[in-house]
Amino acid sequence: MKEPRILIIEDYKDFQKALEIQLKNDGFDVITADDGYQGYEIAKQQRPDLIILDVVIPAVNGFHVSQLLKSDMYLKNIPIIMMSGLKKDKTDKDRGLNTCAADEYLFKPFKHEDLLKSIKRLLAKK
Amino acid sequence: MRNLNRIKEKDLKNQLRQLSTLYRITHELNSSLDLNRCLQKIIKEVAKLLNVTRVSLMLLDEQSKELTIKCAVGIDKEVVKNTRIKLKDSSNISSWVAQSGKPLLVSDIQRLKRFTKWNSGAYFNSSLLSVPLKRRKRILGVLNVNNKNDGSSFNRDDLDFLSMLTGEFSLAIDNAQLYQKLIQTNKDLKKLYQTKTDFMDDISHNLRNPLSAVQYAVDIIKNERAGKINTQQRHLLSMIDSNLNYINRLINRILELSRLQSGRVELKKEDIYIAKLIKEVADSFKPLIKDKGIILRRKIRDRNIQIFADPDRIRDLLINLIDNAIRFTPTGGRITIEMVKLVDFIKISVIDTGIGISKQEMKRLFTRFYLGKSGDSAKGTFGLGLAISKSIVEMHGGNIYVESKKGKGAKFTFTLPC
Repeated sequence: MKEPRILIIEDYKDFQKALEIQLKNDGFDVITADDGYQGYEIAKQQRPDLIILDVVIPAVNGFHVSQLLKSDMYLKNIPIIMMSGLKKDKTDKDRGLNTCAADEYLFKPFKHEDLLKSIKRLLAKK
Repeated sequence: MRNLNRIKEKDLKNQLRQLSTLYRITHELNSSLDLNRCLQKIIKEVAKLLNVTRVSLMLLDEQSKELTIKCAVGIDKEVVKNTRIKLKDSSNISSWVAQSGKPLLVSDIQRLKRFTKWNSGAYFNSSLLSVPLKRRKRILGVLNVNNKNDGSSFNRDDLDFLSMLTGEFSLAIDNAQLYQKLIQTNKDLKKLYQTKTDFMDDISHNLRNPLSAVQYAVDIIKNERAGKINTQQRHLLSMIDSNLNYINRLINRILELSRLQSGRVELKKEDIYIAKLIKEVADSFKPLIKDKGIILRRKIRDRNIQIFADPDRIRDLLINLIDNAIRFTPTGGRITIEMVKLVDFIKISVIDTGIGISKQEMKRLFTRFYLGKSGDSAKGTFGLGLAISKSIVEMHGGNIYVESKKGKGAKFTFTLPC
């Protein structure tokens, strides 16, 4: 079976790279995007199995990207894990999960085990 | 004789009129909040009372050392707006009066050659009275009246009346200026505080991305996904790890405190059994106190007291205080959590047998970033715990205070309404 493809949309290059290395080691096929617009385009073309989406990114912010993806009938089934270094705030999390229909919301910095758990749970559900 | 009486009667009437005006003006100045409007009104009355064509109240700008017209009667609006007279300009009557601090009465200005400048164009003067506004030896400005309508010159009575009036003006203007300064300082301070808070917020948020990257990189190496590592390398990595944790907790606490202090936090209050919450928190410290060889006791009589509060915040508060007590209590010491109910509030104390707090330290204890000098090494303490605790207690409408003597333990007490 082909390994699951994960799209990381994150503008902070060092973190994007570290995340990519970890996920590749975990056996995933990883693709990356540096901003919201690029992320949305790549998602449309490549149809990843899961998207890890940062909230504060250039061009189109993470909240908006999630809304775009979740309102597209071909893309809405791709699970989205939102992550944010912004305030540890319940309202942001609510916005991400409810208004923008993301499937998971993590506050930076998080443990890789926690991310991995979420990924596995969401892929199994799919 | 009759004539003389008539003159005296006229004088008396006039003086009475002036006195009653002065009384009314004083009352108005003291009760009005809008000084500008009040002054304008009074100036008009002065013009009527002294029967003059022109009155101008000039104030001194302390920075530019210039006199400007605050309000006036009989002077064109544009002139009022644009007139600026250098204090040093000795050819001008107002600046001369302001500089000398003495009043000036001129019955025929044509004879005074040094003040020719004042007599230009439309504002021709014949007679003039100019009185300085002084307060605590400081010159505030000048009050000028010019040209009696009946052509007569000013006299000693006019000067006395105007001097009394400027006394009242000075007091009111000085108060208003002080009040303005206070408001401005207050505004500046608030702005400064906000800038500082925003700055802290920005830094804290911006640290999270690099922190995440470092954390991930460390994990990759530690899990030997970038090659085998030896024992010493593993030891060094766990050192990096624990320091990353420390920075991360510090960032979270800074953000938490700035949110609490800015009023951005809404309490999620509910009915809670406070004794149960205290037991939960105390139990969570069991491993730590066992390690350190400290006894932790609870002295609570009524276990059924309910308070209406935010359980998460109250838990944080208890954790902060107990954590603090443990840190400052040596092995063999004792920590007691006490709760009593008093009419409509509860009082909870965390008492330790630790090293105590000096009087000087006590003053600064609840402020941001204050680290107890004599506690365990700074690691794990941020000096933010008590500031956070204070915010939490005050948001609930309670009080927090400390009693202690150096070397004889400390007692932190907070109250909450119930």
